[in-house]
Parts: sequence; C-alpha cells; structure tokens
Amino acid sequence: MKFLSKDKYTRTLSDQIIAAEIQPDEGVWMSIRHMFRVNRAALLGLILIALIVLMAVFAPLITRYDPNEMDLMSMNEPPSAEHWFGTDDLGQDVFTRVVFGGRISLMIGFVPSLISLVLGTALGLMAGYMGRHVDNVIMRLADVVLAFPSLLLAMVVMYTLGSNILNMFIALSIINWAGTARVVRAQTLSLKEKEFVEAARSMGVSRWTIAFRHILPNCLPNLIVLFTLDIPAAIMWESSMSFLGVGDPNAASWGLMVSQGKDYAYMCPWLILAPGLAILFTVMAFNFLGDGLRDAIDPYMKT
Amino acid sequence: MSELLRAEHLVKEFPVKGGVVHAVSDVSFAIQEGETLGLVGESGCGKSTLGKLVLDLIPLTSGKVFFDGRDLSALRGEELRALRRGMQMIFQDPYASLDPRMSVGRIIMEPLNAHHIGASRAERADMVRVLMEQVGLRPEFYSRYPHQFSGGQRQRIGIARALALNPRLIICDEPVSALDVSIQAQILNLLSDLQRQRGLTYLFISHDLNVVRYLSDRVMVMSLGQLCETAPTEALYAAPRHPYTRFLLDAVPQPDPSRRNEERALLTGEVSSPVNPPSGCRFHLRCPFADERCAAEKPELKDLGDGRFCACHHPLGV
Repeated sequence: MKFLSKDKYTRTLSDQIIAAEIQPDEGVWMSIRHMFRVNRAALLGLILIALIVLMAVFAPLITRYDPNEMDLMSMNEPPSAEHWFGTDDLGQDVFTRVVFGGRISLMIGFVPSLISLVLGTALGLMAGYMGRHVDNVIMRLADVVLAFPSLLLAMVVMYTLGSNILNMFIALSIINWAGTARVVRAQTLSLKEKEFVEAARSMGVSRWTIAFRHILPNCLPNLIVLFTLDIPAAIMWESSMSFLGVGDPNAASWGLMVSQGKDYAYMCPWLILAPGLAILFTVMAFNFLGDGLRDAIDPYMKT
Repeated sequence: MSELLRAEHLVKEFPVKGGVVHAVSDVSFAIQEGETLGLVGESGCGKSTLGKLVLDLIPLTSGKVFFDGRDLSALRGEELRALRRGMQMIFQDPYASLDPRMSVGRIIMEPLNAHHIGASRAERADMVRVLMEQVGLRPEFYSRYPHQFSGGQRQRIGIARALALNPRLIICDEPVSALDVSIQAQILNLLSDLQRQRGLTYLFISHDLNVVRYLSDRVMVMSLGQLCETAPTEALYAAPRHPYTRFLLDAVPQPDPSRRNEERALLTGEVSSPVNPPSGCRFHLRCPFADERCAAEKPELKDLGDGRFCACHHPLGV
C-alpha cells in the first residue's frame, strides 16, 4: 500500500502554509514585508539606499574637505590615506566630491521622478476614467513622447531651454511621465469595471469621489514600484547627458565627474571609477528594491 | 399594498462584434411595497442586467422605470440622486464588491458621506456601528479590512452598506450564490428578518430555485432576456405553466432518495444564443411542445388568473 510519508505530508502542508502566507488576502504591506524576508537583494537595496541617502544628507560631517576647494600642490594624486579616492586635475578630493555629488544625483533621481509620478498619475487617471476625447488626446501625446528616443528628446529639451539643473528636471520629467500615465490608465480602466466601483455608483457616490477614494488608492502599490524604478532611470539619464556634455556644468553630479575625468582615465582611473561605482551601486540598489516590490505586489494586483 | 416599482418595456441591447446581444428584451413587471419578488433563470439569461437596469447602473436601450410613481428617466441631478437613495443593491460577489483598501467602517459610511447624512463624522460612525450590530457584525470590527472577514461576514458588510441609506427597495443580485450552503441560510434569515423589521421590498435575483422559494412571495422566470412566467411562489412550484419553468424545476437535484426514481423531464441541447435569438418563442428550439406557431409568433405574457402570467402558446395544465 502506498501512502504519503510523514515527511512528504508535512512538506506539502508547509507548502500550503507558505502559499497561505503570501495570499493576496493578506494585503499588500504584508506581502512586501514577506518579500524583504525572502528577497535578500531587495533588502540589500533598501539598506544601500538608506546609506547613500544618509551619506548625502550628512555629507559635511563625513569628509573634512570642501568639494570645491582646490589644492594645486596635490593634483591627480592616487588614492591614499589622505585622499581616499585620490584627487582630480584641480587637486580636489574625489571622495568628497562623490559624497557631495550624491546630493545632486539623488536630487536628480527624486525630483523628476516625483514630478512625472504626479503628472503621469493625474493624466493617466483622467484618460482612463473620462475616456473618449480626453483619453485620445492624452494618450496620443504620450505616444509621441514614447516614440522619440528618450535620450534624444531630453537632449533637445536641454539644448532648447539651456543647460541648468532646473531644465534637467523638466527634461527628465518630460521623458518619464508618459510611461506612468500608461500604467495608471490601464489600471484605471480595469479598476473602474470592478464591482466595488459599481457598488459605489449604485449608492450615488460622485464620479470624482470614486476616482480619488477607490481608483487612486488601488493604483498606489504600483505607483510605488514605478517610482522606485524611475529614480535610477533618471540618475542614468542625467549621467549620460552630463557625460555627453548637455548637463548642468555647475552641478557636480556623478555623471559630470565621469565626464570630466574621462580625459585622464588612463593615468588616473580613480577619477571615473569612484563616481562610476557610485552610480552603479545607487542604480543597482534602487533596481533591486523596485524589482522586489514589483514581485511582491504583482500577485496581489492580479486578483 | 401599493406599487413601489414599475418597469415598463425594458430593453437592453449590447452591440458586439457580428451582431447585438439581446440581453433584456421587452420586460415589464411591478413590485408591491413590502413584497419579495424572486427572479430566476439560467446563467446569462439577463437577470443581473435587469437588476442593474432598474437601478440605472447601466443605461437602458429603451423602456421606463417608475419608482414610487415617478419616472426615473425624467429626473436629473440632485432629484434623481435623492430618489435613488430609496433603491440599493446587494451584490453577488462579497469579495469583489468591497474595496480591499477601505476599512469596514469606511465602506459602510460611504453612502452616508455621499448623501451628507449625519452632522459630523462621529455621528456617522455611530450610525455605522448601529448598522453593523443590526446585520450581526461586532462593532469592534469597525477598523478591520475586508480581507480579514469570511465570505458570510463580508456579505453582512455589503448588507449593512445597502441599509445605510434606509432604502425602501433592495435589489439582491445573487446575494448568497457565492457562499457556503451553511452560510447561505444565515444570510437568507438575516434578509428576511430585516424585511420584517424595516418593511423592505426585495427584488431577489438568483439561479437557485430553492433559495428563491424560501424568500419570495412571487417569482418571475426569465429566459434569454424575456419573461416566461410570473406567479405566486407556491403556485409556481406546485404547477408550472410554462414548459421552461417545468424543466427548470425538474433540473433541481432531488434530495429525497426514495423519490429519485420519479420521472423527470430534462432538457437537451444548447441554450440558444442571445446574439441571434430564435424567432417567435425563444424557447421553441428546445421545447418538446413547440409547433409552427411557436416558431413564427412571439407569445405575449397572458393573464391566466390567480395572479399568474405566462408567455406560452401552449401553457401546461390549461
């Protein structure tokens, strides 16, 4: 007679318990907490991001140099106990510049992502919820933006408006909002057919109350994921543009440091390695976190 | 008893690729204040669509709905909203019909907010707690979320929400079909208790003939978007007049083993498509009593006396 061994039985049982643990019914926050327990990369991303943000915020406490202070007696020095990441061609301390550059690069990550999040959400919600002409106008506009190569579009904006950090925010917001709008629109379309929305309508709840109280909160988990994935993208775009020479020449971001260091790359590789690794770690940290969040939220959103 | 709701010649057609779905075709009925009108029919026959048409949740293709003697289509804006406060709905799926991101208190409070009832939030919260108690939910659950409740408890939340505006008519769209049988009875008893306490009128939509029999004073049978038969409950179950009703009743599983050998008429063949419904009587392709007249001429709902109406050229037992 064949029967399930106890071992096998408990294993099936524990499988079921695990399956029950990540049930969509548990709610999205529970499933995110669960994800951090299981997904070490996402946890690492979260910790890295916390460290990088702390580093940027407390920059003056971390280093004893001024990022713009030139020391012409020690130019292009390799890493040492005195200058951890060496010095550049103007004798500036590279470690200090990386720490302070984090302020600029993080700002460039956050601000345009926030702008495009708000703009994309508002437009996507309007398109999906109002439909018809509003939908057509907004989504065709989004198609135009998405049809352009993003980098090219952002560079055109920078050339037209001028190279400063404010215009960098504008350029990055312009290339980013359309993706958010698409996601929010799609989700709005599916949410507005849900029975709880129908229930709200049957009770006489007004259209805009439904949009803000039912549809928007149910989009929120996805918006958090989008936001965490937009940040590294914006940092990368800015770095690319600074490297190509259309960034703000006065905002010493990591991208600009790489760009300025590239002429000395063979002799002084630390000039591009330090800011390059900073970009790499930051972008990877946000991507790990965003991917983990997406995995945690996806099964929840499928139901 | 006075007439609370009257529906006249309701028609709903959905355009689809390659034709038009005749979801509801020329359906008229009335509900008296305080009664429960059951609406049965097989899946896809247009029961739920009919319920939503009455509530104006989906627009009518043609026809009129009168609530308390007033034509809903003639009203606009605030007046319509005020009148519609008197009609609420209980939904089929207690999982999908509650917003997963709202607490129970907020869900039940939503209709109160929408109609600006109660002077303050605290007063509305008190009203919500009273409602929760009335439907058998502990008021301490006020700030819990729907996923923390079982199906039956969720349906109680849906009922409390429907009661919040103190409606006169509640449309119950398959309120128990998603629940376990043991829970079904609890919810049905709750519905009938509430009806007694509050003098509610129900339009009770279900595909479960036993459930409808338990609760309804009168029953309407619907098939392919049309009414087949309307009759007082016991009369309909004892002696159906429309062949379709007969087949529906015979299809109910017989729980008594000693009666399992009784002869039962069971339908064969496919349900006809609502996209291109058959001519004449829509049931004639599957009906053993059908003749040329059934294929050619659409039967009207005829008064057979004793409150019975039947749309058939050859009603049974007449």
